Amino acid sequence: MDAVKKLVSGRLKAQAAGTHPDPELLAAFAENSLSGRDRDGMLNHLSACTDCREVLYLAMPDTSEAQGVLAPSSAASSSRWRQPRLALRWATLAASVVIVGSVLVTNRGIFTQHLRSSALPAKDNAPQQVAELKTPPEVGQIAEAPAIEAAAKVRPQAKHMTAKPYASMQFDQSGQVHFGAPSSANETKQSEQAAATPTTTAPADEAVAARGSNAVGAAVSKASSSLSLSSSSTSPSSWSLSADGQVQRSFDSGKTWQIVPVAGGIPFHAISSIGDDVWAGGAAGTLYHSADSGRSWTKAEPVFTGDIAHIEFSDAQNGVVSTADGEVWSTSDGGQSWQLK
Amino acid sequence: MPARNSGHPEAATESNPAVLELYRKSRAEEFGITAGEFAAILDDVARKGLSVSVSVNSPSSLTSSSSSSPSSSSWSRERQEFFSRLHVEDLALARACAAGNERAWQVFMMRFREKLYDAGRQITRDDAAGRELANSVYAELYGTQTREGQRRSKLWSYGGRGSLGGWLRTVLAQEYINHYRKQRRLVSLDQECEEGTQFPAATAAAIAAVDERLEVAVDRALRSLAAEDRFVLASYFLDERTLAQIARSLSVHESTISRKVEKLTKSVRKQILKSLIGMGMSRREAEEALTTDARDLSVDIRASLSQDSAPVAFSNTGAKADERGT
Repeated sequence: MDAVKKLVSGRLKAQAAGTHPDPELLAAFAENSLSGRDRDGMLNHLSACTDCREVLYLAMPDTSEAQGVLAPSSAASSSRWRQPRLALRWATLAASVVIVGSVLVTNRGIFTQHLRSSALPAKDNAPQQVAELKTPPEVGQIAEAPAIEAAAKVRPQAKHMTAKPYASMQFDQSGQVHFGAPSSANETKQSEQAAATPTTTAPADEAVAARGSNAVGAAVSKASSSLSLSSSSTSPSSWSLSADGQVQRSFDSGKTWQIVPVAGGIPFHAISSIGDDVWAGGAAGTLYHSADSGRSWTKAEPVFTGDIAHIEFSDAQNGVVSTADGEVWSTSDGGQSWQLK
Repeated sequence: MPARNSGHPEAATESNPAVLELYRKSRAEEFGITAGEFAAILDDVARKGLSVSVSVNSPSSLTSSSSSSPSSSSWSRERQEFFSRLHVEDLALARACAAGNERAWQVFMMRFREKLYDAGRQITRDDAAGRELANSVYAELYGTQTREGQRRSKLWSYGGRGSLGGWLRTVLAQEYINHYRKQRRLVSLDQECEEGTQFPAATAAAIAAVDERLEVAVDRALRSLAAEDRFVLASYFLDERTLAQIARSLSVHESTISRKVEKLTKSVRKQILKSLIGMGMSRREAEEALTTDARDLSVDIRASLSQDSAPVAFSNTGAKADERGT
């Protein structure tokens, strides 16, 4: 293999490359949007031109590490990635079955002991009692836990507000900022404790705006920085926008991203998420909302018509939208009505 | 807005629903571009993109129904497909910026300013250098040179075939490579020696010693490959890119590239052996020839050098074509 590598490299280097293509053709190739003939021509040139290959690789955004791989760009490419993904699903299912099976097998002794020790007095109302007795004590405690938690939840909104500062924040190399839910149980506990202390709610977008280091002014800097802002406080997924304005979601703290189709792939400028609610805004007041973590989207009909530059929701009901015209609109009923600030 | 290549009556585009639909989708009206001017922009882009000097300005050009001959019908379909792939919103924004529309520049700044700096940082892997690179490109986008009293913005050369964001990143990368190359040419021989740069010795004797049949066999094997396969091999062997990088550039999974590299290597080796045996070598001789040091192969040094260090490696070909078309 090494010998072949050396031989092939030597001869590939000797190829004549011809005229360099326009930057837009290179960009179109990188975005997989060239038609067959143009794509072949570009590949022909790229295979011979070291410089253009270097430009191609330099110009590829780091953010969409997995985006190009996962995004279904065409029917041909989709069939290529679908199979490994399908295999992964089956593997996950098989692993789940094995885990559940092993838990049942190891705890079988406990189940049968409980059944034997209390089966005698339960003759009259047998079916109901057996069902209760089959539940091991640990499971019973777990079942009670949600009820206790529900009773303790007297401030549902505060949970959303205070979870935010404890969410993990990551800057990637292209400047996108991704917020994810606390990774460890310890962090989750901290954020729940923080519910009683609202002083910790430092605005996340200020930290992002601080990166825009100069020039046209804080407002432009803040607006442009927030274009790629995504946040998620209670959902395990993180949301952001891809380089071409598509909504994307990550389940692994931003390591890989999946494109989420919204409204036929129109480009968006801003995104915000809180719990299962996700808001995405684009040109001319285009605003889409999902209340179920991106499974379904509805087009909101806001009164403003300017390009949306920034969205910030503090909870499912209260949010603020800034437009490129400098207008700031707020809602307190989940986007049903909007007031100009 | 002063449209380039205009002179097309607005009434003609209004009668063409396809142009109007693209015009509406592009939101060019917000930047003061009329439907007629927009049609002229499409004409300009189609002329360059389709490499055919047929005017888009004719009202029937975007509708196959009004075309009579089969060839013009297929041409129209090709054109329709071409236009449907265009990023018309980005195209309108770029052309409006190039024409100096203030509102367009506001939108451009809002959408791309930070992205430009981020891309510069990513390409140079240095904050200050990235900012400098982005600023130099930004100046070109705004237009530092004037021609016939008008600023010449680099944005004129954007034709909407890729996204404006992707185009900006590519322009940045080209600028970076050009800049790097200029600097490299200015480095003195002493400095290069200090840095440990090694210079190839004359290899005339070695070249003579190598069997020409091996070069022919390798070339033949490479020529039989598809362009994509050669690209994969060049990226992996020559540039030493990772499988993930190559996979991203081709929008496929990493494992696909991994399998492809393995398969291609075996196939190329097999074909070289076959060619060598076909040229009169015994199998053993062919196997031995494959272990030849690649440095002994006669590489086209002149072609390689002219490619690597052309004075203007990435001139603004688009802009030049654009100027020619004016």
